Amino acid sequence: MRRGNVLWPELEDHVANVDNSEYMRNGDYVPTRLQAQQDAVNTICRFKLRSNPENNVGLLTLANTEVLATLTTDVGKILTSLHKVLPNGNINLLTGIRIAHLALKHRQSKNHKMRIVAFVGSPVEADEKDIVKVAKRLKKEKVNIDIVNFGETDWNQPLLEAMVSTINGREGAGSHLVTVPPSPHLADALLSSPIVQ
Amino acid sequence: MTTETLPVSKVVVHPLVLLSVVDHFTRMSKIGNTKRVVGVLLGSWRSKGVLDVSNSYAVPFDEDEKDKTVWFLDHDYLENKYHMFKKVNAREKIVGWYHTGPKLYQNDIAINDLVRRYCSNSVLVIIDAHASNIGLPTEAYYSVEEVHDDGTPTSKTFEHVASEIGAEEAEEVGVEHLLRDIKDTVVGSLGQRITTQLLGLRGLHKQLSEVANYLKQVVDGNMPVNHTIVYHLQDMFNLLPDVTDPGLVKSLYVKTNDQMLVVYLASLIRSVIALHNLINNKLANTDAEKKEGKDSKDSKDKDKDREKKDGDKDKKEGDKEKKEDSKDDKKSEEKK
Repeated sequence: MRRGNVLWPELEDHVANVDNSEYMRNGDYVPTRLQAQQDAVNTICRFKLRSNPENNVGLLTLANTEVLATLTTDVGKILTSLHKVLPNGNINLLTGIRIAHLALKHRQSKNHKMRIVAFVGSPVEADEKDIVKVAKRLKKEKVNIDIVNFGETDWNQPLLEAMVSTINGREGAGSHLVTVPPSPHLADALLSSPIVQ
Repeated sequence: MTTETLPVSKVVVHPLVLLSVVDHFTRMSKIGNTKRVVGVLLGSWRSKGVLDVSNSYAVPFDEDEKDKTVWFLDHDYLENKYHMFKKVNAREKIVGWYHTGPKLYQNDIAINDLVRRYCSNSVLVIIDAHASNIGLPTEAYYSVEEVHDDGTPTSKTFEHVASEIGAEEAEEVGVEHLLRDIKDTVVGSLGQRITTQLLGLRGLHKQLSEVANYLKQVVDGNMPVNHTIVYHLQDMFNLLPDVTDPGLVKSLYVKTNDQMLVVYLASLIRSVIALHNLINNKLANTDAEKKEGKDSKDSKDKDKDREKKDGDKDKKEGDKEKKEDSKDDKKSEEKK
């Protein structure tokens, strides 16, 4: 978007979906998957809010599908709710994505674009059919989705790839899938990914 | 399931709440959203067990029609608005939430848990925004843990709480003022009584058909037998009078006939009196007319007499002159 002669980043509202299932206790990302995820979410939120001050960010957990923070420009609020997240139950990706979509529908300004950033760190037990259905719906509603695949990368890879490719469709560049292998630096790996570009 | 005493025994809903809810619902349906609307109830505890719901506000709520587990309620908005309301009236606390139903939904338990975070004894009130004159538009529920007989973990379910519409004096005046434009002034109290009786009977009919439907489902095996409900129904049926008892039948007949006799007599007497009045009226009218006629005749005769008198006077004078002339003539004749 051009304002004057300067290219500003897009006006976007993000909902970060964090995985807080029992798989997050695993220590293959340092110190635990949950902590690494929190740092990553922190980084992404700060980046988005700094790139355009009018952006909004929200927070939602995928395991017990609960909205922790509705769309706001306050980083502090996101961080406090993020710290209260505890591992609990099993991931329910599709429900979480649908709820994130509902939360985005209730954003303040309809000018803002809608984007979901989902962190998936446990095996997703969903049919490819359902995944494609949800993806088609999001594509119709012009919601972009960025998926960070970490933890159970092999299991989830085909499903998540199907989702991203369905949403992208033919033109394909709004949604991204980032696969991060076990390493101590989840947040850093994200910084060099198309998500924070 | 044993009926424990709930902390809430009665919910009193103020007319302001009903108005706000219906207004909210109407506004949303104008936009084209005919799904239910959800909001928060504010109020206070009047006395032990009686909950006074005096104010309410709506919250952004969305749900997926096909998948009941997908729903979203903006609780930041809820908290912010509550803080603002507290500044105006510190005594009004969050006491529960409402939605426009008309029936309970599957995700109501989940939403109730969310509202429970702000109020420990949260009450759900379903307010029916579609105008149906039968019965109250409000139904109040309270969430309880139900212990299953077969040992499965307890599940939360809603227990019905008595609700009624009550108002402060100022609100009653306001409601009356509003009703002035909507409700026509009823012609005679009899019409009003009949209307209320009719509405009451319709409501009774509706309740009875629900009871019949429930019993039918239990017999078919669709619903489990709930012993408390069956005890209540048994009490209800025991209270009904035995209409086959000949003594009762006879006394009913005698009473009805007596009443009908009195009604018949009264209507006969009314018609006779009306006829009498009519005749009296007619007579009075004809008397009045006659009197008027006589008066006018009298005045006409009086005028005629007066004219006659004047005429006689002239004639007399004329005679006098004639007499003098004849006298003169006689005199002149004698002289000759």
